[in-house]
Amino acid sequence: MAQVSGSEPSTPGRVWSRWAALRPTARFRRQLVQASIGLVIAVAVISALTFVFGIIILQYAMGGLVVSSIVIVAAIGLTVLYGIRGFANFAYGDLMTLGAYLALMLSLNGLSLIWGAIVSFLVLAIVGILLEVVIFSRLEGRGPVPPIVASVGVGLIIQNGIRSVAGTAEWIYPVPATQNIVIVPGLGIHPVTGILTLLVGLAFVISAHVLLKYTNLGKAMRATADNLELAKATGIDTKRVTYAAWVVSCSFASTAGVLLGLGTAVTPTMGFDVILLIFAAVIVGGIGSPYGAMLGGLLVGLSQEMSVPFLVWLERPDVIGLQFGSAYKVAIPFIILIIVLIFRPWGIAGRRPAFARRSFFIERITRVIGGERGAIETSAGEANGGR
Amino acid sequence: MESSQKSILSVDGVEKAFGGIHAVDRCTLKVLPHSITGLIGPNGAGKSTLFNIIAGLYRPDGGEIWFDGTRIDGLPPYEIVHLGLTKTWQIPHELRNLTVLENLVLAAKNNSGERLLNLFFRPGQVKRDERQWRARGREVLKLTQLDGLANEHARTLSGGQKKLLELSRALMSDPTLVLLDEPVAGVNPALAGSLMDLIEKLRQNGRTFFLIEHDMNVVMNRCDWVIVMHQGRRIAEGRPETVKADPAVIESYLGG
Amino acid sequence: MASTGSGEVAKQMAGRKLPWSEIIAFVAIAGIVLAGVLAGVLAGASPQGILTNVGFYASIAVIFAVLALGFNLQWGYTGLFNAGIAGFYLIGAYTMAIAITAPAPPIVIGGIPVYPGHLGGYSLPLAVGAILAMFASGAAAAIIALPALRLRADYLAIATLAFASILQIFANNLQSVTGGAIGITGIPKPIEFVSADAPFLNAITIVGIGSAILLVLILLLQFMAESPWGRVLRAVREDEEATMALGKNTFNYKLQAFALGGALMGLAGALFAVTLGYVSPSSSFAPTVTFSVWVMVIVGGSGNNRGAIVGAFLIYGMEWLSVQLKDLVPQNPLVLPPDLQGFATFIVLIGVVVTLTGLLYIVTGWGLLKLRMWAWWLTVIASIVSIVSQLTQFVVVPAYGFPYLIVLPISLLVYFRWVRPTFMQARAVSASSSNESLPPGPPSFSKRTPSMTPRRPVGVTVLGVLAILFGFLAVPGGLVVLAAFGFIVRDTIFYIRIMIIGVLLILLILHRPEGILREKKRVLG
Repeated sequence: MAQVSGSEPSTPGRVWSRWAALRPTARFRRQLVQASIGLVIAVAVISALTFVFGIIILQYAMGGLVVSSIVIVAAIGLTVLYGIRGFANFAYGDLMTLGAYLALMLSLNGLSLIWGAIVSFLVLAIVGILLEVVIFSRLEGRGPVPPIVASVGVGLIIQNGIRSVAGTAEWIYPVPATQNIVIVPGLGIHPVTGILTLLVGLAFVISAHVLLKYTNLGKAMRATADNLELAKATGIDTKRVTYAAWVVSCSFASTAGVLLGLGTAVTPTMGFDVILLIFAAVIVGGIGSPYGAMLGGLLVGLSQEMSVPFLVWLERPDVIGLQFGSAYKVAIPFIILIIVLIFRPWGIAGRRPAFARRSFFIERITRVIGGERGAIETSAGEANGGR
Repeated sequence: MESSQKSILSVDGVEKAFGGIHAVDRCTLKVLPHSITGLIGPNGAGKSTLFNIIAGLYRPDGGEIWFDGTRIDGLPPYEIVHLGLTKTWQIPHELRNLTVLENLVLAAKNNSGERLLNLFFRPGQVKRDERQWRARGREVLKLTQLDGLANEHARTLSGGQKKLLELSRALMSDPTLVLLDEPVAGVNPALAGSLMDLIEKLRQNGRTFFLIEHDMNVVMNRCDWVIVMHQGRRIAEGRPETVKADPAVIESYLGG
Repeated sequence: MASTGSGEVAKQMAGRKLPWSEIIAFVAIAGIVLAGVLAGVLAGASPQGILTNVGFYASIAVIFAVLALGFNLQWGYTGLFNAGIAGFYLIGAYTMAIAITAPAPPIVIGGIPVYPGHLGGYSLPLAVGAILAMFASGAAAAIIALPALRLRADYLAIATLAFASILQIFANNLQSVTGGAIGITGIPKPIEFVSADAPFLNAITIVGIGSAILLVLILLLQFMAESPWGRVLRAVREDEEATMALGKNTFNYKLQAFALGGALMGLAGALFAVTLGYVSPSSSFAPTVTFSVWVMVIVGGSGNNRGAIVGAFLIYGMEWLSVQLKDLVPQNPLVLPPDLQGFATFIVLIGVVVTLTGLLYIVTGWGLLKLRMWAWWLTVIASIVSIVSQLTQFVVVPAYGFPYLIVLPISLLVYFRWVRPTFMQARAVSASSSNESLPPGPPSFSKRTPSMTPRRPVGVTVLGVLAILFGFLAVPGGLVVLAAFGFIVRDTIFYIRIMIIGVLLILLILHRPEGILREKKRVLG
């Protein structure tokens, strides 16, 4: 909307200018401060635990970091699509599986795994565009449920297609076996599944950051994720942005799949088994925010791995006598997810919706405790899915 | 501005901000009982938002709202309706896949059939209540001249008819105060006239109407009292003629 | 919300006297049962065994029907999208098992714990167990609902999916309560038969009880749906904010619908425990169950109770049939000459193409010309798929791709030279004459004009049905042949069935979200 030169916007509340497409700096600075504080706290906690329990805690933390890298790469892909297209892609896990199998297929035929991963990256990008063109573009404007159903269908097709072609056996990537590198006695890291995963994860995080912050396409993507109508009105080609989102999403999925396959094994359900973990990271971090996805991924991965000593402690007969305590570690991220959904559904870095007051979090607790009439009932803004 | 009469609706310092934009900015106003009070102001002044807050659909960030001696800010909408305050929507929110009569009967208060246990343990009462409310629904439809469409699906109605449906629904539960958000926008002038006659008659029967309107004919000829909002607060009020000539009001419409 | 062209056609069809879609559905179910019986006969089973098998189909189908009714209440009537159906199912099954089984202490053999034992051993009567199961699932649904129902539909889906996963983890690991990975066995049947006919009689009993329950449920649900209470639910699904403004405490209604739906799913779980005789944290409670129930309700039409039941019988019928077919495959693959190998695959893939075309026809309502175009597309894709799969290391079949090296270029040629231009031309013609009467030509133009009533010629409907029937014969038959000769593993039949469910989900949600079988009375978007 054109502004008469030399005049100020007449109302202080008006934000009708080009800059509306980018986030206000003040908020970003605030988040940066919050993230740094969180980081300091995390390091402090881990150090305290190490002091109390010994070096083994660091081993778990290392494992947690490795899991986090895989989750972060996957979560960035998922959150970009979620933010721009507005739907939860339940086929994401199976896309990861597809990426892993493509890389496997190529590496079994003589190509090195690196090339396999790159080709898989490109092929999945094409798959993403195909999915958008054939299916998801026709589901625009029909609410959040139809795309979920369609994505479940796509996931079923991919997963079972893989099963019928490749069978249900576990495959391992043809990578030479190596020993853990020992840093300190009691703390080792595997060069491939540990160091490589961390490095690749970091590389992807950095490239995502560069893409989103410094390229025009990235800025367009952020604007569209923030507010679709406003982006369209400011002349952004949302079609191109949508395709870009699918490309980023599926390619990241393929890499996450390869990393996951390296860390564990390549099976038809490998992706689907972890999809809730990735959703947890995305929601905890805030849908549509890649930085949130990073934080969420860290939180989810670390909490899952570092809960193991605690769960093992619960196994002791004088505590609860819980059997197979460590098997429950996968439930920890889900519990975090549910807590976040109750108290802060928009996540760490997400946008607070209009109906909530600043003290939403505290208010919710006091209402529930105080048993106020209407405490746990729908408030009007949340009706119709919090439009 | 001061009136010695006790108000039926009192909005006191209400605020509501959406992500940095103050839609309602420490707004204070009063509505007197048995009146037809108009609320006008340029687009974006916060009128519809204020109505949504009064009706309980939004929680205000600050301030108080009193209705007929009860404090209602923070109450959920269904309780506010039970206290006797209803609201219509600016863009009609008809329930498309239900019939017109079903739309109306839904607005009933204390229809025993709506409680699950009553369905099984008091079927007679359920049937009686349902019949009673359907009859009342038809009466209200007669008042708003929609009775021929009682069994049509609401999605087949024209724009003006949907507005009438909004009004009919608001009247079903026998409210004390009705908030009307542009009740005659898009309705043909003859029908608009008879609608406002109906509102006048209902007012004489003891109800109060608080309406947002952009149609100046309606405001000037039908309202006893006019309140003007701009940028989220009240900037003027008075009898229609007074307000029309108020320089601050003219300024807000031109400058906004 | 504007309805699509196919939605218009569907509405027209709903008003017709003969519910074509329901007739087709019943024929399909009968066909599935017949095919299963045939497969049993071919595999050399006894009449006793075959009848028991059919009885098993009916009992599990009834259980799925109850699940579908529960989901229909939550989603079809109230608009709450539950992705954790398997979780409530699991709670019901385990509660029933815990309540009605005899005590089972842990078994340790030679110092190795073989069986961890489980909670329970109360040996309560079956009816009490079922009520407890319903209560447990309903309560769990209510507890989950408290925080989750305020959430947007996709958040609700994720939350319920997480809930179901947590439950599976607990069932697997909370060994002394649930019996761990082995589960709880020895669940008593309603009537303990001792004769040789016992399995068959058990199946019949379950079917009888299940049908009675279904009948009661349908009547009950119909009554509740048409009551004022049900009206509020429909209003909530339609526009929750408006319903709140009308003075309804919408959260209460959503909570009630969700809890009742959960209780129904618990009932289904209880029936399952009794039918199978044991419960274990296996694939019976995997998310695939949730997705299957989705398909059943979507096929039947959300909000349509009868349709949900028919959908359950149809979709579970596919699963049952795939098991029967799998058993038909001999243990050791035989040897077949190379030319026939390729031919067998060719038949299967053409069968798939034809079935998909028939499905597309029934689901989308496109005209013949557009269908032909899609049929060619599918043939091209099938050819490419077979060539590519020959190049991978997973499938090692020699002369496999030969027919496709011929079919592929011919298909492409025919498509680009003849099919596509004709279709484009037809589209241009009907676009320019959108307000006139139908131009002369094939009577099946897909472009609809507002003035005319589109009616599919009977011949084309028959063609569509024939296509599907052919597919039902060619595809499974071909798959069995392929498995017999070792080209695909026996389990591929399963996987293809699940892929078909995936395709159905996509097609239905794209073109027919209101379902295939629709009640005439209610139109639910």
